Amino acid sequence: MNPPGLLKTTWIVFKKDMQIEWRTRARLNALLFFAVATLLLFYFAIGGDPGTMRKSAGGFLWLALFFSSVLSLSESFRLETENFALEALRLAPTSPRAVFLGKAAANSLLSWVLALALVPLTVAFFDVSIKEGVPRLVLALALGSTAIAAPGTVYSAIATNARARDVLLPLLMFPVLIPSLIASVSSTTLILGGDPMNQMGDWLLFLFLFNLVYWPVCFLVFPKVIEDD
Amino acid sequence: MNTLLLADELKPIFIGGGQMQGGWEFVWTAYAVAWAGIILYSLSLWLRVRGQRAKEGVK
Amino acid sequence: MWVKALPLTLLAIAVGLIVCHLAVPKTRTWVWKVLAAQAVLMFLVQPYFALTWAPREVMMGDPYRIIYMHVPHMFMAFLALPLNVILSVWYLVVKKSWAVDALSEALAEVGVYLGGVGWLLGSIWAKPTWGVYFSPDPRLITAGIMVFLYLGYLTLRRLIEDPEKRATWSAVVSILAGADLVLTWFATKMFRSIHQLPSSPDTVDAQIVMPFRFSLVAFLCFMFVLVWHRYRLALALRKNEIAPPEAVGQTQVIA
Repeated sequence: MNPPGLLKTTWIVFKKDMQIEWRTRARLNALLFFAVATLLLFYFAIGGDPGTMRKSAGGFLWLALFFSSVLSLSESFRLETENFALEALRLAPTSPRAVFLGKAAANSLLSWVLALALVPLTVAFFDVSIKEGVPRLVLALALGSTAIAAPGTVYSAIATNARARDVLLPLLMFPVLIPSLIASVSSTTLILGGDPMNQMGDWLLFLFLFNLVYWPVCFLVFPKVIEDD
Repeated sequence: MNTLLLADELKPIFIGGGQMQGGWEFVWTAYAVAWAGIILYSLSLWLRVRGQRAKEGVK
Repeated sequence: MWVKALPLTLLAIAVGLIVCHLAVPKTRTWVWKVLAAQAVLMFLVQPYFALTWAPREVMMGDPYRIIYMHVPHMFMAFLALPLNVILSVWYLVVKKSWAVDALSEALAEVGVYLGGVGWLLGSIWAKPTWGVYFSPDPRLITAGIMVFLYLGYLTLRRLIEDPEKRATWSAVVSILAGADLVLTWFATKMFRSIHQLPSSPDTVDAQIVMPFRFSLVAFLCFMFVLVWHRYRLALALRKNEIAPPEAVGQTQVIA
């Protein structure tokens, strides 16, 4: 019997991760709660000035998402270290690259859903509206989520096997994600606040380029991270 | 290429127009920081290399 | 006339010595000492050129002199860290070797030191020049992120015990970091073009340039010596990790 191809394996890994997430919904709920709590903290930390609130809404949304992503990503490989699941994955005749694609896709979807869930709260707390249309917002959130997921998945695999993994993952992730944060926040702020000078397209393009660089790079290097030669 | 690199660094100075006054305290601070870095890092490296040589000497 | 010749001659000497060191292994015992001496001498002379000999500019006053220290630091960091990226690719794609890993480690540490101090110096320079210690300037931000990225790289190396995994994974992290530097540069340029910072003239007085070139050569010699010794240290540490532990002077009692 031929081992399943790249796409099929990717789908299998993706489905498995999604099933595990669904079966332990409590963790999903906790993650959502964490994101909401973070957003609330920002609200209280910044104080009441309405103008500042409106301008910062995009920034806070993405920060809350970044922090939540660290938690969800660190979990992404932790469950593989239980019961030698990662060893089993390695021994199976599947490409480690498929593991990357499946996991990164699952992480992207999770982040994206989390982001979408945060939108109504952001709109309410920070007194903004979706001036440039919901489809554009959905797109910006999607591109930003995939931007976090690709390098995040690689770093998560590395951090799981190192000491002080809880601190190491954000330490590795945050500097790398700064350009994507700039672009995500800029485009989201423009979408929420209005884009008179048509800059949003540039930022979305940049976000797309970020993904275009990182997904292939991570796809290529990932085997080095989980292989044991 | 050197002059362009340098010109790039000097760009913002031309903005204000008029002459900047004094500012030597910044220069001294900068040089102190730079020298502290040079001495501390060189020392750190030297001590580590010496420590490693001592370990290898024992073996 | 000698103004142009001096830094150029010193550069030629330094480059000659470096090539000698790299090409002829037998010279590696003493070439670094000559370079170290050159660095020390140049460092001792540099303050004269930078602080006294270079003129006080009509508009710039004196604080500009900080760049004679700031730029060489950053220049060398931008030499060392991208070299680490290249070596990392080499390690993963071409050939795994402890020498490449050790050199990567050395370049990262020296690069972080020079980049970190250089960034601080840039901040000190910015205050009298731009009025603020920090601003969203593309170079400032890219350089800052670069230092952070490689601090992460060094931290990662400390936290992995297995030498092979350490070498492989830090190479991966370095490659992702390298990609990030390019992207950060463009992101911050876009960010800045939207916030409209002004531009200025492009020609600079020759008397201001000479100390600058002089400082660059001095730091080149300095960095080479640092990297060489840090490389040797890393290689020695690697050997200790791979070699099995020896029982020192004890005979085993077999009951």
